[in-house]
Amino acid sequence: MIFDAPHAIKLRSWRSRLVGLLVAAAITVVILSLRASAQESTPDNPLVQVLAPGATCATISDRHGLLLIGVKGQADHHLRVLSVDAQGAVDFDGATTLKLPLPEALKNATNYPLQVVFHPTLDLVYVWQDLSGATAAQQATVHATFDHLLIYAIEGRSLTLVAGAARGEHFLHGQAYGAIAVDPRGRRIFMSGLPGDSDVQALGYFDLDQHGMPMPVPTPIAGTLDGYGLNKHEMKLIPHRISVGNVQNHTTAFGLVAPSTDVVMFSAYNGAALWDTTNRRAALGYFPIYGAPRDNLIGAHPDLPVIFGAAVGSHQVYQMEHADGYLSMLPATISVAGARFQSKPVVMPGAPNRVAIGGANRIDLLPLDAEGRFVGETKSIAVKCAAVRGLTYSSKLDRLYVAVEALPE
Amino acid sequence: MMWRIYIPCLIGMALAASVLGDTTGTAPDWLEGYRVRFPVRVVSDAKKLDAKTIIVRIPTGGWLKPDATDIRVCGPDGGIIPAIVLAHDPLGDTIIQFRQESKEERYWVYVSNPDAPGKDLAFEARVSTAKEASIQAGLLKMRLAKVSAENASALRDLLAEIGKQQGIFDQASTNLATWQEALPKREAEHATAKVLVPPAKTTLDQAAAAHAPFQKIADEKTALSRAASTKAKRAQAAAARAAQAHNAAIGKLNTAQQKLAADPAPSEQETAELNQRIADLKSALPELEAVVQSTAAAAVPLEAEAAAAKQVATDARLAAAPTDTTLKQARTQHTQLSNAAKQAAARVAKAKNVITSESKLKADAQAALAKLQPTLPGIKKAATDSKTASDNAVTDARAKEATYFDLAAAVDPRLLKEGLTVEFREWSGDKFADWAQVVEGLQCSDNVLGGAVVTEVIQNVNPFRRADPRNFAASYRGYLKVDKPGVYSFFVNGDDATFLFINGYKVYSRTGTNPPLRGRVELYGIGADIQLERGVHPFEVHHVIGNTAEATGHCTLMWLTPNSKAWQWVPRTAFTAAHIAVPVGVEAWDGQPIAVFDYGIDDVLTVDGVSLFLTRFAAAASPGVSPNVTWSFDDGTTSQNPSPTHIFFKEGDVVVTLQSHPTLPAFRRRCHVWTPPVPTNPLAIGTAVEMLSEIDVTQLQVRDLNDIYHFLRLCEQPDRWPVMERVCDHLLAQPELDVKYRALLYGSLIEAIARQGRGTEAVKIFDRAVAEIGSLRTLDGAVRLDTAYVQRQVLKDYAAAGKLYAQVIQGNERLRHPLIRQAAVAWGDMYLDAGDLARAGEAYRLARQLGSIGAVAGGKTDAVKRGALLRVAEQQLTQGNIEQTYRLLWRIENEFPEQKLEGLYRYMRAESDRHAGRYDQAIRNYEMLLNLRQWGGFRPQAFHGIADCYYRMGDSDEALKWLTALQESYPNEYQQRDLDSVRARIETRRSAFQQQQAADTGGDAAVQEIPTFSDRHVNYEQPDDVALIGSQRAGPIPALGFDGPHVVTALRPGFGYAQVANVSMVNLPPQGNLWLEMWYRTRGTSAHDREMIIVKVAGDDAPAGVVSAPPQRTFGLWHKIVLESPALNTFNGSFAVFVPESAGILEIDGVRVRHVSDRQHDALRRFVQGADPQ
Amino acid sequence: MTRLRITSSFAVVTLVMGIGVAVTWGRTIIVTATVCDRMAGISDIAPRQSWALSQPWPGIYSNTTLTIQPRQSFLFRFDLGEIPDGHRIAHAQLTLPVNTWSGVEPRFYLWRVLPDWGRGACHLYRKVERDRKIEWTKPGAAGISSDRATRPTDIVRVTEAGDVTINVTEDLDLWNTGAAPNRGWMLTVEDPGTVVHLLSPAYSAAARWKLRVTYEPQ
Repeated sequence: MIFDAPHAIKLRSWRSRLVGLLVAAAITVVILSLRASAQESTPDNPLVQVLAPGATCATISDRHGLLLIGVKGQADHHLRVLSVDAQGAVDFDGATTLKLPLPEALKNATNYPLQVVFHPTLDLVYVWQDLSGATAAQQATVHATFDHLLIYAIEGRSLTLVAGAARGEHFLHGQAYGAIAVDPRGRRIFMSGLPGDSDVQALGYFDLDQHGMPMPVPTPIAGTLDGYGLNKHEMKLIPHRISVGNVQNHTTAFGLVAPSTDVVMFSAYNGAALWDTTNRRAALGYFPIYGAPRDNLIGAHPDLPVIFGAAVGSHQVYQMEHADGYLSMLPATISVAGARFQSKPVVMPGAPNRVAIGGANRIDLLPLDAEGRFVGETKSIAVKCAAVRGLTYSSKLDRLYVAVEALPE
Repeated sequence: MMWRIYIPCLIGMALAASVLGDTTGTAPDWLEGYRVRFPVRVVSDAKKLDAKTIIVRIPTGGWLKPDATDIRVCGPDGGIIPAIVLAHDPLGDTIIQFRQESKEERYWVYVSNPDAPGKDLAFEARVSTAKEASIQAGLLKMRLAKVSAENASALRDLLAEIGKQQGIFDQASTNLATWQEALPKREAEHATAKVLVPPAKTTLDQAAAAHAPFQKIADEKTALSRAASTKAKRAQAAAARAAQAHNAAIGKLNTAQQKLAADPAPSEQETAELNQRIADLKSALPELEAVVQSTAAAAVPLEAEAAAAKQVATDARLAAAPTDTTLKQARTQHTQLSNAAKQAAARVAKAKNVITSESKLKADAQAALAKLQPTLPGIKKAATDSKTASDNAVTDARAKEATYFDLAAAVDPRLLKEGLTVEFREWSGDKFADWAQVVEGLQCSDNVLGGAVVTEVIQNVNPFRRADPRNFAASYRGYLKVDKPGVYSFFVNGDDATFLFINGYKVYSRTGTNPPLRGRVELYGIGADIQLERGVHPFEVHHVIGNTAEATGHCTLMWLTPNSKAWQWVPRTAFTAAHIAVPVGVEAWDGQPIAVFDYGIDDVLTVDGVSLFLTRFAAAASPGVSPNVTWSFDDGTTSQNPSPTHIFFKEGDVVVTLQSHPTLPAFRRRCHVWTPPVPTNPLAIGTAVEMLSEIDVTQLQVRDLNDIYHFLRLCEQPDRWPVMERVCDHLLAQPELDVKYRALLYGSLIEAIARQGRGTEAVKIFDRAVAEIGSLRTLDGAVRLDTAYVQRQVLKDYAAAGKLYAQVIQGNERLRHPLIRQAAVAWGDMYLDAGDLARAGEAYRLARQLGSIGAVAGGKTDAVKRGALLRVAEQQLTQGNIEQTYRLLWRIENEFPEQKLEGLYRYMRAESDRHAGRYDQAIRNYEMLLNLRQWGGFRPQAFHGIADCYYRMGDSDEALKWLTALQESYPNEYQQRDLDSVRARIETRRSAFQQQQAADTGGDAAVQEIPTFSDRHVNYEQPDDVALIGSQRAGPIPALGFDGPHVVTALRPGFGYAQVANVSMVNLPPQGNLWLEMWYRTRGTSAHDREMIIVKVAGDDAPAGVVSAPPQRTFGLWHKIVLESPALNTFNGSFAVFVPESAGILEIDGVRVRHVSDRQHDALRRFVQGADPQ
Repeated sequence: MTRLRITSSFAVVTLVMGIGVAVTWGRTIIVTATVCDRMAGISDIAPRQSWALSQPWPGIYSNTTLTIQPRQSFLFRFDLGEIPDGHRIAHAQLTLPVNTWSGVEPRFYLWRVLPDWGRGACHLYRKVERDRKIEWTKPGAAGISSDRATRPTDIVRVTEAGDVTINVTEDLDLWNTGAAPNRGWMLTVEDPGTVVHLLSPAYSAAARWKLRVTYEPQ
């Protein structure tokens, strides 16, 4: 494993450098001996594998003891709902699957979930779905009938559809990746997959009311000017949006992290970027990392203000600090040999502190120090799944749940 | 300070007495419960303006209720006159409007009555319902006016269309008539032409028939003659051929015989051949001859035959000739006639299709008319109906307005529709995409920045936040005077959102973020049309600028009057104006003196990111009253000075209060600190140090003290040491200061104490400093270096200084730090001052081996760099930019200290000191240059330099002494530099000085010392000042001025210039230049760009130099105008100030001219360079 | 001019000087911006985005180049772990890569930063964003002697593109002896209308920001 994190290597005067070499040699000998025996699952191997071929996303709620896995490519089995008991074991036979609503007129097309998010305080689940295979003629019906954002209420172990939103020409469809993020106070939901100007992608958000429902905005009705020059208004559910063309093109992966109501961080072309909804003069900030990963998916550390970005289909991971969503300098970049990441990084705080990233038939665990910086040796666990994208961690149960295509014998 | 009155001006005196004295008059007794009142006087010209209401701006400064409902206006008889508040800034001024009572000019405005009765709600309810009705009627009128305008234009278009079609129809029918008339004539012509054709045809045939036989015969004969002649020709040819063959044979024979008899006898074989050939030829000749004869004979008869045949042929043709000619004639005749027939036919055809096209046109026009005609009555009826409806609405609106007017006339002077005011608020709304959002934003933008009376809607700045033209809303309310009824187009050009309402109806709106339109504006593409009838129309312009980075604050109202072809600004004459009044004093109910105040930004000193804003405050009271005042400046400091200049450290708003009355609350005003675009006066540094020594620095925050310390270190003012000592003491007492800062503070403290003559105490401080910071090599060295400087320059203890320099250098040789090198260089300077050149050279060489100074860019060798620096320095000196020369000399002194012993460096040092006004140092450098034996070449320049320095210092005798020395020792140099003219100038100056002295002292022996001119101040408070006003068109009026209660203003607004000051100056120093400053305020006026404030500066014989600057629209705030005039070489001089009359009420106060020496200019320039002038 | 009495013999000083230069066993190390453990931008355009130091596209701010202009400056701190204890600084110089500029021979200032500006975003009005919100004494850390040192470490006049070397011996001496805590430097421009562009250490030019330190045993 090659480390070029700046803090790992120190330049010493020649005498002390010689001493440093001797010590390093000793340590590696010890590790090698240990690794030989680490194949079988030791108590600190918290992995729980769940059979869900074609999984695109997964999330778990400690409060409700529910694990949700979004699946693509399985007719009518879009969302697998599994309950998890106190010890973290998954109740497989009690599992149910949900079919995401698809209007009659679009029967020939297929819809699939891209991301599932629990509301931070209320008993609600937001599912972002997309539609592929609709013919050009059906464009109008898609805009008229297909909802991208589905809101489910949680009663005990079951989910009931409460509302649908994000419908109309303000939303693209047929995207490979999509993301939603709700800010910690549940006041706003950010979305990707909106059309920008001149065919690039845009970000958007709805403000959420106290019940977690997106709030419509007053839009003037054309041609209703009265003597005083006042238009009549109607309430329509239209997102506030910003085009992010120069920073992110529409074919790439997408990750959203919303640490506060005003700012959302999203993965940019070769680094990270942010949208400051309060600053009209400098709305977008873009922090490219020199010689660093191409399209990447980002994930946040639950406790520390740090984000991690894993390059899709590549072996590079970066870590960067932020303050209330405003990225700060000095990112750290490492590359994990032989890895081809597919999922967003999922941070597993605890002893030891690690970040897990799903790849091709394997999951890599990168150890972190107390400050959230890369330190030490990466460990990878083999799983039977061509592209691991359904990956989530429960801090209460200290278990990492991964959706796989086939269970180990 | 002695003032010279040079131009006794009787007219001015008379004027002064009449104006100054009449403010007393009989004042009414006090209104119940009110504690402060302002006597107010109308200043606008009653004869020119027949207005019925008066607008006045009163400095209320927090003495009113938040909604200003407790303000009252009384006439001279004490009766309350209803007044309306146009704009109220709780921390500034209030603008009110009230009716004029029968041409009365004096009123009293009462403020500050906490328990004044509120509004009379019932009456107000009735008034508002009547007002609402009148407004709705007005709205209906405007809507109907809009509809009638649209119908009128529709009718106009329809009539235009009908007219067009009718025109086409008539034109087509006339054409049709003419052509139809022409057709039969053309057909007749055609017929006649056609008839003629057949007979011509028959004659042609007959002629042809007649001619045919002859033609046939002629042809035969010619054919025969042709055949005969060909036969004859053939025979002739045969004969010719035979003759030719015969001749050829003879030729051959001859050549052969020649060859035989040729000189070089041919060989036998050749002779044999030749003989053979001769023989053959001879034998063939007779045969050939025979053939020739035979062919010739055959040819003869054929020729004869051919000739005969030819003759026959010609005869035959001749016979055919007459019939041939008749045939040709017949043919031509026939073609002509047929052509004529064809043309006639063509003309007929043309006539026909013209007729068809015209008839088609006519038919179409007829159809169109048929279609349009029926609609005409309907549209005409609609137009007339809407016109009548609009007229009815106008009458109805007038009626409703009349009822409202009668009801509210007593209360609301705005009904008289006079005056134009503006109010600026801080915009705290969010969006301005449409009028509803703007209204919502205006409702929550309750921070009023300020208001003003203006004469037109032209704005290019936010006058109350000049530093930041963003996030503000301006609301103009006024009345448009329309003389010519018709359709007007309006357009409000400006940043972001602009709205125009006339009679409450939204005529024009421009929403969202937009830049103002620049350059040519297309005629009909923009703006909105509205039909306006003759009369006065109330209008409002609302302008909002959001957080737009590139906004400039631009907003102008433009219009297109009926059938005019270009957009113009709505001129001043199109708005109704009210009388302008000014408060002439302020009185307290208990007779105690009371004062209000106004402020203006005097100067801004900025260096290294530290900014000192010198803000001038002036307490204003009634004439003759001088209350003792206490200021508090929002940063914890106070002052008792009647007109202090306070220093602020940051741009923005501060609230300053003035307590002048024992019981009344203090007068409060929000003051905006900003950087005005005027050059900084070099004397401002001195003022700043003066002001700092007055305030108690320990009250200030540490952050401001840091800025003050930085300023004091750089300001090079001789009287700064007491303040420096207090600041350093206070700062050193602060906990956890940066250790380097403490070292610098100790250095400054030591110098401050030493400069005040307390040497031993300074040394004690040094010991304390070393004890505290001794362990750090670099800081310890810094403190020792500073102390050594003090020992050397102030305490003159060279031994101690030398010891300190040694201590800095010892042990730190390998510490490559600029400090060590500076110590060695300073040590060398000490020796140099003492004249020990050898030791100085040694020290400088030592310095070269120690640490390097400053940033090193690129690695040029030392010798190259030194040479380059010297050359560039010399070049900059000759070009005259002293700043660059100083910077290069500074680098030479530090990087190549041994240069100080060289003549070239010394000469450049002296020259730059002379140009910078440091004459004593320049003279010392020139003398040092004269001591350097090996640099004799510079001696003439040194002589000239010393002479010029003495002349500029005013010591004419010494200057002449050195000039004569130069003339004797270097006559050609003297001629070359044309120093005679310099000598002449010095002598004229000396004689003028003596003349002046004789005149002053009446020629007696006691020589009275004439002070060199430095400062002359006019504030129109003393009779002398008033006497300086040259014309009756301007005069002083009491108006709570900025420099004493009186200000001067142009009395009769017209189109010309009024002189407001004419002051003389005596004994002008021969260097530096003149700075003229005056404070001005525009009140209810607007200054177009063309109008300038002009100052004519004249010397004894020198022509008048004119400097001018345009006054800005100050919206009622005091601004300073600065005019810089070059130095006058004459002994006496004078300056006269002229203000434009058309600017209306332009108040001028505190006119002051000061002489700024070159030395002070240089001090400012070095100050602005900052801590390290690299 | 009175004749000077010079007590301390000048000769003695030069003698000692000679010996000092001959015997020197100082060590020299060079570290680059990769060992910087703190960097932050201050910009009034995006007050809360720490590195909004260039505007590659309108409305989008980034770290690809380092633009220093009035109300926009850059803070950076070198970690001085390499200097062993018990040694003192003989000479230190900082090398910065200047790329382009506007204005004729513009000057930029290098100041020593006094207060702790902590981890997280440091912007126009605040030193630390994440742990505690602490104000600069003046927006943009312009407070002389409170936010930044009383006198600039050096004022560099830019004449040609390329590396500029600045003598920072005094600051290193203060930090190394612990007299002043190492809070890094600040690059600013004080003359209005001047802009200096440097290659950005937060993007591609970390290796060209060099700090060369020569130290010797105490």
